[in-house]
Amino acid sequence: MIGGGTDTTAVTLEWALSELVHHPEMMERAQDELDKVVGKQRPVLESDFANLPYLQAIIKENFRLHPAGPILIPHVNTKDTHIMNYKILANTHVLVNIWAIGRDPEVWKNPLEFNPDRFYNSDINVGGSNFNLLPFGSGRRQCPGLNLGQLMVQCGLATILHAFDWSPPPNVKPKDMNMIEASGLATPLIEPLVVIAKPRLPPQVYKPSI
Amino acid sequence: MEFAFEFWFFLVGFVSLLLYLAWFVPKAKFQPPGPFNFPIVGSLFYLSKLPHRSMNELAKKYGPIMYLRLGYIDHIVISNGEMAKEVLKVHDADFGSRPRFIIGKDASFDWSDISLSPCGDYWRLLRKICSTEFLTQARLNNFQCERQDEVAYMVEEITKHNQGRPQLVEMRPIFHEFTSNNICRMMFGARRKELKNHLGNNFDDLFNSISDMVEIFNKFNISDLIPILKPFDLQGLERRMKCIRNRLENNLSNILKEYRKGNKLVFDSTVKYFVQVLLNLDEKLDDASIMAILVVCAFYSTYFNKMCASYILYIYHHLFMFFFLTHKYLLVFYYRT
Repeated sequence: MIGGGTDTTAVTLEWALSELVHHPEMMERAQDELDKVVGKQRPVLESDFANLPYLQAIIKENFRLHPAGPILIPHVNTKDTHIMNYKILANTHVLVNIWAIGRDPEVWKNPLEFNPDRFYNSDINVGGSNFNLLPFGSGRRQCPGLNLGQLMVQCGLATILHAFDWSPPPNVKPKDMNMIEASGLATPLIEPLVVIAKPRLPPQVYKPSI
Repeated sequence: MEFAFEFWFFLVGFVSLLLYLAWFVPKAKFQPPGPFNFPIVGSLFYLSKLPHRSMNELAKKYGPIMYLRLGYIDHIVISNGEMAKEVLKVHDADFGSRPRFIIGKDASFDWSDISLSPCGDYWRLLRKICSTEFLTQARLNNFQCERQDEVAYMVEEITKHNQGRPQLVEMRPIFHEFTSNNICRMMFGARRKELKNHLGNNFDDLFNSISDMVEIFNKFNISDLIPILKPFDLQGLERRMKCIRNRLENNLSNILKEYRKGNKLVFDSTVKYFVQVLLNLDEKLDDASIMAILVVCAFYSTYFNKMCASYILYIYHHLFMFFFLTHKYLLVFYYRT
């Protein structure tokens, strides 16, 4: 739990934020939506998430393009299995390349483009019923922390977009940001994301209770 | 003399080639398409440091279901949604097990965690605990206040950097703090800092051991693919993992002891956190299982992400140079005498 839930979620948040700094017009649209639904006088609550379709679309698009684990943990068959006309011998390791599935040009139009509109008001979800979008896998070996992971990403992203305006470091244009992935447990960005945060709400809106 | 040497050299080469053909070619008839497999290393040469990318490139040529032999292990790579459905839904029951890679044994406390344990009654029990006790929507909702609080901490942390005017903020540590505190509060009932105050070194070391473990998982273990090398533990990963397991066991059993005592250490929380739930289950679990569940490493793409062919290439380069040089010296030696 400690091992599985921390890194993957943090990396997902980092990718989502860097995509939005990279595409300021999308950040603006997400913030407009937040202002309309939540306003500027109270924090985002979990009950708001259902009313934030554009934010949900951003999160799905981020899962499509940057799944925290690009290849699912290997599956293994205990006996010979036939798939289509092929025979898969027992003890074959099965690697499901969800990174490739998310970029399949036959399913996704302009697959390399970060475009949340493809999920805007669509009923595609990441719960494992759509086999073209499987950030948490599917079936009996699906990630049991699926709901928690999604909740943490939603909470984190909604809040930082609501509370701050984000921009790249001085002298870097949004389009010039480094968006290269590193190899690692959870394919993080190769260079850690460093950005400027400008508060956009009165300071009392977000205050820890303890 | 020199005839014998050359003769044996070629004979051994020829026989191994025959054995190779006899062993691997018949298998290939009904296998999914894939690139050529070299003896011993198989298709490892085709993979780069970002294996998901190399596999995607290969899949463009060989199709959405592709056969790769990596070392001595058969793999199939699935690269589109339709095939994923075949494996994860249609044949879900057949493909429900997990490979037993070497360090997994100690990392999962003898296969007692949910992500690596084989399909069976024990796994079903864990799955049940997860879906009815831990990660139910109702229980997640119970922790809504905690998440709200952590969100506020995160905002505070970001503004702290500002000091009047906007400054550059490095986001990775902040996100990490946010997710790890969320998880700590759900599991142990308090933030990391409080836990450290109450549980002292045990708690600190628990987190250090887990990040050490992640580091080891990040390394590609050559013995997983070439099992004959397993007893030698060339990279020392197995030994290191055993040490980490001991540390984890120590820390976690001390922590569990404190929680079992149930005195002031049990944090006043209106909602039950996971350690409490685990200790009060109807189906009593042994300590090893509880530990495994707590650590549970849904180690995404575990041993695969770092499977860089470069390591193998390195070994091969040295082996090759060794044979090449010895052969060359033998010849030089022969001509001089």
